[in-house]
Amino acid sequence: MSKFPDISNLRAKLLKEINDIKSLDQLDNIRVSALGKKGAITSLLKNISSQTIEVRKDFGEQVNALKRQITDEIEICKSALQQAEITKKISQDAIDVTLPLTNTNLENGKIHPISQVTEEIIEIFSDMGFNIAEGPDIEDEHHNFNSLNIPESHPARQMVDTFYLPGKDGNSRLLRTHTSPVQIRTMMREEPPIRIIAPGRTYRSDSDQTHTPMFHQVEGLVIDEDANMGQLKWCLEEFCKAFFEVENIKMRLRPSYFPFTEPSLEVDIACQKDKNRLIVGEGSDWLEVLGSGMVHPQVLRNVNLDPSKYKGFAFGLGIDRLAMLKYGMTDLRSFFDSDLRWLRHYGFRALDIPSLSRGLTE
Amino acid sequence: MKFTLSWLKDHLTTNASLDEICDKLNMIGLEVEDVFDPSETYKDFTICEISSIKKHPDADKLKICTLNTINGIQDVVCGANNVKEGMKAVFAPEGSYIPGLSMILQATKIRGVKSSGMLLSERELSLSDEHDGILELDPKSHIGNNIYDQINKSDPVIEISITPNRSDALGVRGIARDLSAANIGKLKPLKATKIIGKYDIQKKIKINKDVESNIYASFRLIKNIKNCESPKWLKNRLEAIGLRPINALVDVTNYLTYDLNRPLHVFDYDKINEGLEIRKAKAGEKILALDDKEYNLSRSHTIFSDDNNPESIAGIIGGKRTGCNMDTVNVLVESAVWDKINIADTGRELNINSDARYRNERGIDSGFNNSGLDKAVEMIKEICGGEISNIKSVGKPLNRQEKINFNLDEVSRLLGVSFKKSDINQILKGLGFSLSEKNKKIEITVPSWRHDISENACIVEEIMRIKGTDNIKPIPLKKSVGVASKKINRAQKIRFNIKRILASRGMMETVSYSFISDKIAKLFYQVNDDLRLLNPISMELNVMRQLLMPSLLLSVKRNLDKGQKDISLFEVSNCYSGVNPEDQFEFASGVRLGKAISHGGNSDWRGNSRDYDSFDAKEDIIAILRSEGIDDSNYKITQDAPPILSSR
Repeated sequence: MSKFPDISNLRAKLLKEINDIKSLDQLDNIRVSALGKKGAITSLLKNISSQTIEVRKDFGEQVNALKRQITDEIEICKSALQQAEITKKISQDAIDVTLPLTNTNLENGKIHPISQVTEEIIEIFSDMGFNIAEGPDIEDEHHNFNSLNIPESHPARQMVDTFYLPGKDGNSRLLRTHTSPVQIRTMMREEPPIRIIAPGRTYRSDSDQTHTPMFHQVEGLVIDEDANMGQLKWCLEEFCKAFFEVENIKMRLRPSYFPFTEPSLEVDIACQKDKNRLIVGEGSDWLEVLGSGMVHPQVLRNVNLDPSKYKGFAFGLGIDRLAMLKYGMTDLRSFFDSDLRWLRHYGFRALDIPSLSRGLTE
Repeated sequence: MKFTLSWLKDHLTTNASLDEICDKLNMIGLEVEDVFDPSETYKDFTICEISSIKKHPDADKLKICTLNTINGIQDVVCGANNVKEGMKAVFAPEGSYIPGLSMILQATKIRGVKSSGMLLSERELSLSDEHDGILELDPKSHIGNNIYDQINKSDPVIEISITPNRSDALGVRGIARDLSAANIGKLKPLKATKIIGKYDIQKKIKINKDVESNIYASFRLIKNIKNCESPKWLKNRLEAIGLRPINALVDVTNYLTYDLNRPLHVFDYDKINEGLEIRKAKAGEKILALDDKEYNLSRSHTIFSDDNNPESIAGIIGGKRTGCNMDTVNVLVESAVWDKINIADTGRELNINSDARYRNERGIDSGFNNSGLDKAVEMIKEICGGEISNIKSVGKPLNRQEKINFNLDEVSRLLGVSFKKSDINQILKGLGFSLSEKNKKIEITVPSWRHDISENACIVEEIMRIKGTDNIKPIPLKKSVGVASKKINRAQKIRFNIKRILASRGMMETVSYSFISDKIAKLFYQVNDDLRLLNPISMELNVMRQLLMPSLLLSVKRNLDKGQKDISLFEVSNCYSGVNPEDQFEFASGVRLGKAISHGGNSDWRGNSRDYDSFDAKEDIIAILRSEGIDDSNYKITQDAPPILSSR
């Protein structure tokens, strides 16, 4: 009989061990004990050379078959174990995405409607070539009144209730009642052609649902040799269309009076109430939105411009009022209340930056 | 400025409807504030008769009135005490709008009894505040007729706001003139008055040299008048525009103030002494005025006085002592042109807001002074009888003849549109300007009632407003060639960026008043007295702020009081270290309060909970610096606070 050992026991033992293992480590131990340098199968193969030819052939075939079988079994077992391990890891690592977040900064913070609307206005006027000018909130009578053709005893001074400060160095001080003094400062500083808007805070001693002692205006001023009322109309029409985001706007220019413009106009835009919503641009009611006119020749002379050479137009509109019309707030006082609930409701997202190319409003 | 449609039609021949007139007024710069049209307001109200009255079964004070109405027999529950059988009253049907209650009348049951309409009181009709009972109508009036004739309210009332430049439109005639120039009808000629005096005023009237040199005053005396209630038409007109009729003498002056913009004053001649004079008041002089207030006069105030006392503050208000009443027999009527600026200053100093001041400080028609006086004495004589004196005038008669050399090209230069010369001529003539043409130049004479026309631009405005602003066509502004350059400067850009960075870090932007209470401000810094408002709207808002932080903390408190817990606020705005332009600084300040991480005030599910601390503030600041490209190597953080924050 054959002189080589019976390998069926070894096969049975190895297969049982493979079958019983629980982990990849154990499997590797089995692999080493069977197929490693000193493994059982490896030793058998080393013995083959000392056998006779006939035995060698037969025995060699059997051992090699055993080696293939065990190698395959180990591979199968290994991939099964790996799969199980991955599955286990995946199931262990699963998270409950429905759990609440605690701090979503981008949603908590909001931009105040006045900032937003100011940026919208700047965006529109800068497209029409206007620069942005600014001036001080604390003004003197010279810039706020006299230079604007409103002398002391003029009844127009009674049109507004001015806040006064004690004055300094023999010069009166007051809180500007309009952004118009920026016109004067700009014309004193720059040579025509001038094309500016000046947004900012303004102050009048007044308080009710639609008046607050502080509010916001934006002044517009164009000085050029060929500025005229037609351009003013174009400018205001284009602005209103862009701001209210409508194709057409029905507009009415009503002759009026401001001491610093001649001729003067008030501008109404058509509107209608649809249930509780105000539709701007069409309808049978009128909404007063701004005052404007050709710069008064006396104002030009006051800033050393020759009215026979230069002309200009100016306009002033209420930023808060425009915000109310566009976004539906009803009480101006709440703009300045800092009430978080109001700010959350009417505020704008931090990244909602007004832009003409992307659309003014989202 | 209020007037009625029929009053307007005294001066204007027109077939235009109320709507057309109002539209035109708006478009020529006389802004319509309110229109009260009785034919609209009272269209549903008819005359009814109370045929029988029963007691309400369930209420002591209520009655069930059976009415004979335009809609047949109707039962109405009524609480008025003055209802009686056979009485004629105002019937308001279901669905009608009750002006005095600002509501639409709904079908209703009152204590279980159905009431089909309502009987109205004067207050419910918005006729007066009278609400003691329902309005009783003429027993001879016809059931079913509309109530217009019964309540003397068929005349629409128009209220317009007059801009300070348009003093001429403070009289109905001025408004009519504007409308006729704008092709709404034709201005009727003003009936000429020719008064022939019978005698001279005995008391001497002088003007002192110390008053303004442009004053001109005229007087006529009417003797032996019988002052009385004004005739019905006159009372109706005054009541329609909200003035209370007093007696014929006073009513005539009020009427002419509104009709022809001719303020007048009437003195009881028997109550004034000799030595009448227009002069400056002496220091210490006082006058008890018609408004029952005593005013302390000073050297700057122009007055009319006798040798004892001031009798009126010239052009502003009369004195009580010499006012006219029903017993007045001899009346001195004054018509004058005063100095506009002095009137404005005096009125402001003494804080008197009268119809006379309002008109005199805006400027009245100096060319109409004596004719206006004659209108007044004519009306008084018609109503009260009497004998009229010769006219006595003091001061210098003003013949304002402002002339302007008008360049026709200014029209297209300013408006961007040109009009036919004939149209321009017609408009200006319609407004009372006279034109003469010499060598292609037009010389325009401004009518004496227009104080607001001084140069070419003013004339262009007249043409524009009468011709209509619809003629102005939009003309595009020139665009820059090529891609537009940047329009906002670095400071503005940084401001916008900071706001958005802080908002993206969860902070809420606030905008708060630039003024705060000095009591609060003092807790944070030394208040600069230059920044105290002289006339604050309240003590809570009486100093311009030097820092934003106090405002922010007040905002935080208001939110805490409303039950808010985790609060992050910021503001980017101006603060003031003084009153000069260079003292205005722009600050960004923020406050964080409460939990940086929390879940409804507790730890979140990860077990995290943390209050905001100084390092959150530090992070906010660093985030701003980084967003402006300032990296960590470009700044240094030290222990000491900036001087402005540590000044206390």
